[in-house]
Amino acid sequence: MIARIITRKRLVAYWYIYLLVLPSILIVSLFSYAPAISGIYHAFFRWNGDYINDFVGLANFAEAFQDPVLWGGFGLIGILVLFNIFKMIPSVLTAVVINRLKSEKAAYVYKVLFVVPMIIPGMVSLLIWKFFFDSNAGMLNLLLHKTGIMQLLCSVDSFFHWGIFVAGINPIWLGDTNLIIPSLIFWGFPWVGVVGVLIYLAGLQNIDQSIYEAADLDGISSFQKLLRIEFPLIMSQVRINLVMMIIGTLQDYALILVLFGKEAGPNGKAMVPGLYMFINAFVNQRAGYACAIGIIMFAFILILTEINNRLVTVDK
Amino acid sequence: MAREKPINWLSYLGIGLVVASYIGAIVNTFTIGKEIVWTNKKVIRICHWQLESGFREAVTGTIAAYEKLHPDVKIIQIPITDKAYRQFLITQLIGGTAPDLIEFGQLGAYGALDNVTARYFYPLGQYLKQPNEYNVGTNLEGVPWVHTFKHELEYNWDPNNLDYYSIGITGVSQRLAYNKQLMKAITGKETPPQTFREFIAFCKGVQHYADSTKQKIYPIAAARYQFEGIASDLGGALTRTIGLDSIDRNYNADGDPGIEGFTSWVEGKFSFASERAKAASELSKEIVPFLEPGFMARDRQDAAFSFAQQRAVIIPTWSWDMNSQVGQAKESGFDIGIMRFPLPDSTDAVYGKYVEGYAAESKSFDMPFAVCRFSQHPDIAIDFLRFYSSQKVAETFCKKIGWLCTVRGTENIDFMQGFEPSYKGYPNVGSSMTFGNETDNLSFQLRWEYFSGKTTFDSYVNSYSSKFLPVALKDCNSSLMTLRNSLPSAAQTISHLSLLHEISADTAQEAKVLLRLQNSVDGYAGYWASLQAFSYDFMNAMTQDNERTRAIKNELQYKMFRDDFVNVPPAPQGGKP
Repeated sequence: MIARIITRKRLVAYWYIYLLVLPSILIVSLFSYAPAISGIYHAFFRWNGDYINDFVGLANFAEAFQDPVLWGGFGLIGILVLFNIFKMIPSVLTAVVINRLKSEKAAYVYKVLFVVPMIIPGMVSLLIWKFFFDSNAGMLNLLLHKTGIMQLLCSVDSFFHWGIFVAGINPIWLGDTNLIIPSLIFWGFPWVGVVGVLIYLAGLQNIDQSIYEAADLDGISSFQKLLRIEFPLIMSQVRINLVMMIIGTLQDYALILVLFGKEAGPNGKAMVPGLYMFINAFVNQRAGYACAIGIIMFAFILILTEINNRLVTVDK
Repeated sequence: MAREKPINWLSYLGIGLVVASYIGAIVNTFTIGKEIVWTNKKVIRICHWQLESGFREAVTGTIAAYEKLHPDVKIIQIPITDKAYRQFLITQLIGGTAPDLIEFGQLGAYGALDNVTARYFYPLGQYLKQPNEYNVGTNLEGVPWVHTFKHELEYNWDPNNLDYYSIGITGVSQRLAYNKQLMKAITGKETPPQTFREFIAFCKGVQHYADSTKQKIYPIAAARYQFEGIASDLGGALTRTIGLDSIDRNYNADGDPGIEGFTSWVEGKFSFASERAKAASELSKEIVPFLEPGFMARDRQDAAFSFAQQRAVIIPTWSWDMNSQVGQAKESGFDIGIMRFPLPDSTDAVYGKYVEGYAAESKSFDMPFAVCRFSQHPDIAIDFLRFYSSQKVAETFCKKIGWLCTVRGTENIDFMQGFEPSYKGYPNVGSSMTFGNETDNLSFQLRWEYFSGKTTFDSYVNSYSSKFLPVALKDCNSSLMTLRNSLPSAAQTISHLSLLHEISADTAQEAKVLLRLQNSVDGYAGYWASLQAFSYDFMNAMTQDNERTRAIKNELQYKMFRDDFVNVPPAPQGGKP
């Protein structure tokens, strides 16, 4: 196929174009495809990342399919993906609000204000959030106390006998097995993702003004505009963000590693497949097994993306 | 057609910034490159994970002093955060690009393999027999390098590779640091509590003070990092016997408490539910109400921050953290006192019958450095180690960083006096049941639940007992996977296989284990036979006669090899022991 596209005649005529593309192809091959191919290859080996490299066939996959820790991790990912879908809504609403601003200058200022936080390194915002959850000095408990929500939570707790919110004792958001998943879900509140907003904005700006004018003539309310015009017309962007969110949720483990350490918190409650893969590769020196986990994760991403593409239809 | 808007000059600002950044990056690369690549000097790199206050500056000072003596040498310091050190080092070692001098440790399961040590690091024994020329003019002049260290680098001896692979100049101990002013304000006394029960009463007093004055003051500033120290001190005081009973249960004479503890458990000599183990756990748990809430989910610096902010009276601290604590206390305007954690005594109604007292503190070295085999200039790297561990340089270095110095004849900075290790007490034998990442994770995950009060001791033990075996087998198999490639570790392989053989329930699996065991014995015998030490038959008999295995190992390792070092002339009198 490639040979048919790249004919000798074309190569001679447009050699400089191919030359310009070559560095990118080399870099992508070297840093993206070569490790992936190496990962697929090593998934069939008992490999310690170094000198031990014995062919074991499908043994790593057989072990992975029976590994309760790994599947527990996929369970947690399932919960997080589900909530992350809802957590996409604030970004859509924010983009719509900015897009509807009458003043172009104000819209520009808001866009800049959304982009500025991007310069904060991810690790810094992660540590800020960790401090936010700190049971003694953290903002969250302080807020709950000041607003009286803590009292309410304690009353609800005493009614249902959860044993999580007890009067006079600060909840340990990142240290209580019952609060770890809620903390991970609450993470990033109010869930306005910068990149997400910009992508939705790009979609919203492509909506022709005449559609809005026609809607106004029909007497459609603001909320109906959102549901019937804006949301359907940015479905391509929603789909992109959904795919990115699924990939991000499945792959990410830095958050868990920084918050809970390699043990993934009490009872390993916060263990996700990415962290488990990392531990096996760099702590247990079971790089072959880690490669097998990586391939399973890849398969999951592929399946979920395909489901997403089929379910989230874009009306052209 | 609408006329296109003219491009605003601001639009060029972005392009200008990108171009400026590129130029800056190129200049920077060439500047660094000039120093490293384009220099005529011999360049060596030294990496470590010590980011404590003053440490990097002290290393820079030592490097500058060395470069002054050797103008043809350039040394580059590479500090790496401890959270990423293991990954950095493993990838650098595997990639063949590791620095010349490496702070030895944090390699986890990978570093625990003897063949990794021998594969990537130079043995230093032959150099340690020679005097350190940088000690000329001191009372260590002419003394073999190994004898210039307190304890003769006893803990740096690698019994499986039969050599020294690292050198450290700082010691380790753990104490409680307390805020003198706050303690006096709360108790009216300047002296800290002396006994365990006084300590408990003091902690309750702090809580009462905090309640009555409506202040957020906790008795003990803590994170998981600090709690591990408390649990080790308190729990360890009750479990020395368990540790001693487990010693060398696998008859490989390596003194690894984890795998020996596991063997002891397999043989039914140890139970998680034993009265002594329970008492040890309950004792550690008795302290938990006095720690800052959520301590298991906090980082070590969070606890240090609380202590510096005077939101806690006491903080458990290791010698290496003390310099930072003292600096922060000075800024906050309070003084620090040092005490040991008071243990329950034999009259204690609850724990008295189990208490065995303090253990002798570790003679191990903190921050040992090893020379990587990839080094282009190993002679310089070793020479730098000589310089760094010479009496005057080591003393200056340790005083700058505020750590304990373990070179003979050196003095410590004043606030380190309280950290002088005590070698009196029970042998420092651990009773750990962790010997790999899986067992380590399980221990931590379940302990978190127990110590935070989510589970009772019985459910904790039940959970541990039910989950331990499969996890332990994983670690055992992980060790085996790599041990087999290491001839000096053949004895370890045999002991691991013997263990698997003992616990195997699957006949097919057992047959495989037996075959591997036999092969390992063959390999082991071949190795030792090549040393013309023992015959095959004798070695083969070792699997049946474990007492003899131990005798042979002891004889081989500590007589044939270590005697070389023991027999070198002793250190002169006069230096500080």
